[in-house]
Amino acid sequence: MEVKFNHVTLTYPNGVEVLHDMDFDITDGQLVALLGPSGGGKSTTLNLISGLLSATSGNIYFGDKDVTKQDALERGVGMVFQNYALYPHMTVLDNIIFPMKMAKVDKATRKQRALELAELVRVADQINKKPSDLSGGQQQRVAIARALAKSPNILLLDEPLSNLDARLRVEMREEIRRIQKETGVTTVFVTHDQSEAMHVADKIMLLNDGRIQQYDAPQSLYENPNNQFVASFIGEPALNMVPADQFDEEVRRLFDGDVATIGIRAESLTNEVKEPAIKMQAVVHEVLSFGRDRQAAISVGSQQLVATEVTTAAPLEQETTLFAALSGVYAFDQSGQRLPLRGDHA
Amino acid sequence: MMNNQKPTWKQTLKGWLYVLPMLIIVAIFSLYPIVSSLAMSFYTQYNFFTNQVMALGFDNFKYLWEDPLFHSAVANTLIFVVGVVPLEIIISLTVAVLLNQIKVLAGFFRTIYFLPFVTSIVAISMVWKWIYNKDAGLLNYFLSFVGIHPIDWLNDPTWALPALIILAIWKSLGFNIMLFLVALNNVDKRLYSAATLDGANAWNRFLHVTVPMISPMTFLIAVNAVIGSFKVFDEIFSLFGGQAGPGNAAMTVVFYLYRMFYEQNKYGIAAAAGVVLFFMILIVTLLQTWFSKKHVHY
Repeated sequence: MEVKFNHVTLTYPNGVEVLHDMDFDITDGQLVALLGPSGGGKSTTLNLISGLLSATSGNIYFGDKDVTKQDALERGVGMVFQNYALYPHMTVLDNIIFPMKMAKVDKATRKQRALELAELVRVADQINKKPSDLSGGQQQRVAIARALAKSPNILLLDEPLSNLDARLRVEMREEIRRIQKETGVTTVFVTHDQSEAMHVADKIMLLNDGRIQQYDAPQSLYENPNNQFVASFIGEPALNMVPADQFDEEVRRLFDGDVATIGIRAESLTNEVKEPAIKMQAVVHEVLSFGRDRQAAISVGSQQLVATEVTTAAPLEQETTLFAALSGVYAFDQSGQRLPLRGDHA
Repeated sequence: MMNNQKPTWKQTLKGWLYVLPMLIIVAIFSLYPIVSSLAMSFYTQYNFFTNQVMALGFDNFKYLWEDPLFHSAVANTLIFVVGVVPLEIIISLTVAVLLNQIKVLAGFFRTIYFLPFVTSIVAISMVWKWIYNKDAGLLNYFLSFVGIHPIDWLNDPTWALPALIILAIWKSLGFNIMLFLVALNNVDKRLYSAATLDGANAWNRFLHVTVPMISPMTFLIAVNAVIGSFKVFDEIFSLFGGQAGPGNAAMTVVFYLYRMFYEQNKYGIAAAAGVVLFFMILIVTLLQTWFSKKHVHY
């Protein structure tokens, strides 16, 4: 179901406004990630969608229906909690059945549906076990099945992968995507891990300080950040930030506005020219290789930079000319707003 | 020390040396009395003061089997257990759940409920004697509002046992409420959020989350309450002034044991009554343990 926030704010009883003017649409059937640093407002936003928190002002719509005043149950949301919150005394099957039991679905139907869901999330061979006998990934699957059991309008996952080890995390994020695509249920999940969001989501909402910094497709977030926060949050290694005065007037004039900081993607810094690029004098200190990855430590003036595309052919510890491909160079003004290239008004 | 090796005799001996001090105390004050009271139940002719046994046999148990007073003592004890334990658990759980809901004054109420537990049973019984008083008692005063005629709680054989049961329940509440509050606090709050989202109302959350999650504590309280109720004595002694109620209406197994031992000096019979009580408690506790295997979730 489509979810629409219409100028929603949230103020805590102590008078602190934690979410400011949230205005967005989640398209029906999409998988959306709420991404941001801790305290950015992503869990709060999720709770506003679920109805566990209610908005101070503004309206929330599910489809055409105004659900602002409805609680979580009336809104019909399915939720997967961070620690899964499975009922420890019930078997896997009973856990999945529970929401349907509460909705008074008849016995044969609810068992049938629970078995189908167990099949969907691939725990069909575990249905008679207790949650404590399952691995973290399996518990996660059961929690998803339970959330889907009441055919929710929207599925919400709060930090779904944070309790899993690295390998399982990769496996489960693919699973979440597969299950979401198979069921077609509109899904929103919270994460603080950008690679999780980039790999799984159709769209990412990046939140900081209770504001939407950018709400866009993963690749656009990376290629075309709105502001300095987005540019520095997305991307690994993090964006290199260089004060504008390290560059010539000529470089600064490439951008439309008063350039304060220039950001350079680590992968745009090379020692070979390929595309339109800005030139800079730098010193390469060392180039390390990790499997298919490379990482070079560089300094420009007093500024330390990281580059991933500088080859081992670069001379070490001496002034060298490096190039930063323009597609990976962003300029920001004093307030952190992105400045467009001159003559480029897209 | 390696754990995967078979312990040597020296190591075993060392281990026993560590537990020896406690073992001596347990042996002297627990094991020896248990064994000797079991033995005493078979002494049919016995001089308590010289510890001389003249004859052995099953006569003591035969006496109990035929004594109508012992029959009524067993019956009263069972009625007492059945009357006290379920109500005790239900009421204390209810109060604990309610106390768990309120934020203000919760500590105050906890203290109030806990007071009976820390107060001497003798003092409590004095107060309840007044509450149960036929003419001036608070209980009859309240009952008069609903049109019930004054009941002579402490002197009417019909009402002596119910009066005792009410007192026992009231006295036990404080401690059990405390234990239930601990258990309730340990239930993962997120389970309640999950259950709410799953469409469970307050009653369903209580039934499907609270009850199973606190079942280990309920089991502990139930076993404790059953054992305590089987052994009831001081409440009777102080409420009825050293008697077993009007016309022995509140005679229980332990009171019977007390009377045989201290008043009638029939030591063998008292010991036999103790053995019977032991087996009654054992059977009920075994039943509870068997039941808990199915219904208690750890």
